[in-house]
Amino acid sequence: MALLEIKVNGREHRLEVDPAANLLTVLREQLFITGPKVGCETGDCGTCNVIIDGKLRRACLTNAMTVNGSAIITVEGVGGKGAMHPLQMQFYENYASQCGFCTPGMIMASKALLDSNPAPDDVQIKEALSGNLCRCTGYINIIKAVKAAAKDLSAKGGER
Amino acid sequence: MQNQDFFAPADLEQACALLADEAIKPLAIAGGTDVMVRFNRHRRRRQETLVYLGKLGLDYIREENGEVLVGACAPLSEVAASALVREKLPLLAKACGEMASPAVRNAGTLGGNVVNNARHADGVAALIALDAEVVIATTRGERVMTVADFAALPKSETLAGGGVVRHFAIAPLLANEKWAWEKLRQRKGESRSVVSVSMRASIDGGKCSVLRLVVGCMAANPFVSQAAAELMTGQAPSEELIELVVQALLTECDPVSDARASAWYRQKATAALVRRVLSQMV
Repeated sequence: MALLEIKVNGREHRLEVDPAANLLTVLREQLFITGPKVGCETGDCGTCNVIIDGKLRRACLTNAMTVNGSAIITVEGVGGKGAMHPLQMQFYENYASQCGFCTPGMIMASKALLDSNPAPDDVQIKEALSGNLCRCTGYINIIKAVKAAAKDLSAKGGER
Repeated sequence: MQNQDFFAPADLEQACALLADEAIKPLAIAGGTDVMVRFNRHRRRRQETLVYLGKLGLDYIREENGEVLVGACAPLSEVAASALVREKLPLLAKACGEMASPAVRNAGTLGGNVVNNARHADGVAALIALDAEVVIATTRGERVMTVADFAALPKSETLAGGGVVRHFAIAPLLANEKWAWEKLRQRKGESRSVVSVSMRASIDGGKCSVLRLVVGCMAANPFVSQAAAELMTGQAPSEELIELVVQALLTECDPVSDARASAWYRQKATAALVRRVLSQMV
């Protein structure tokens, strides 16, 4: 076992992990943070997306020990209790989710995009979401939601 | 606490010593995008000792003595976004920017792409087209070889004796040089190459003086077309000549069939991409 110290959604954790474990397993099975979903575990689907030290990453392809000391944001850390983030609100308003399995990864990829580019065009949104698979929506409403959220965020003066 | 089966050495010597120690069954890991796919597939307890290379400071991208040095641990997204690479080696920026998807590019490294050397490793094809060299640190000092030679070695030999890839050294494109990177894939995002064709060529007085045309994903390793170089060198590129090159090049390679494409399809696709790439010389 190996000792891992990470900050998840602002909270410090110190725990023993299997040195071969991926971050997704540690988050879900040891810290009970189940927003990131287990999809393909090969990096193709994007539903396990998290933000590690400001960068969008696949939790399933991230060896937990390699991010020792890092700050991680999962979908639970976006918005707050009783206060949805504009992205979450616009996904809801635009029916950008059906079964919902891809949604945590979509939100994280969209957040990573808006953090670096507050006013993306359609092509930039498609590129940012190119690593996220959705079985249900056909993507159109997801793109609408991200655009609407970008507008909301700039109206709020870029507060995230 | 020092972990017995995970090491994150902060200096190269220590990393090389760990990787040379066969008793601990060392396995190098950087971004993890290849290693973790394998681990995720096999749920059993792993026997290897992981040696994490991310603390070695090998993520630099800089110019030194007229060469661009790209550190082995530079993530693909940083190589693609680097102002230096975009200006001096746009071929490499384009190839790295079209691999996998944004989240994977943020983790996967150029060094990992080359060391793992999958058939569809675009980084290998791009670096061979650029005639890049790889600089390897070992317990017995530094080794330098071309990426083409490195990729042709059996995997067990490339880094035998505790080798760590430090960086790739690449000569920047000159004013008289043309480049191209074209890759066919099943969809634009998150899709491995079916075929890639890349070119680095010098044009002097309207004639091609040097041509390095590389076809990737056709066989185990990307190959440099000898026929293309022979036919084009000293000639002014024309449609007729390009057609001759396409036909000669197709007899040079023996494409594979796999889950992504049949050999027949790969031949058709290669012909189309070679035409597209070479017409950029005109």
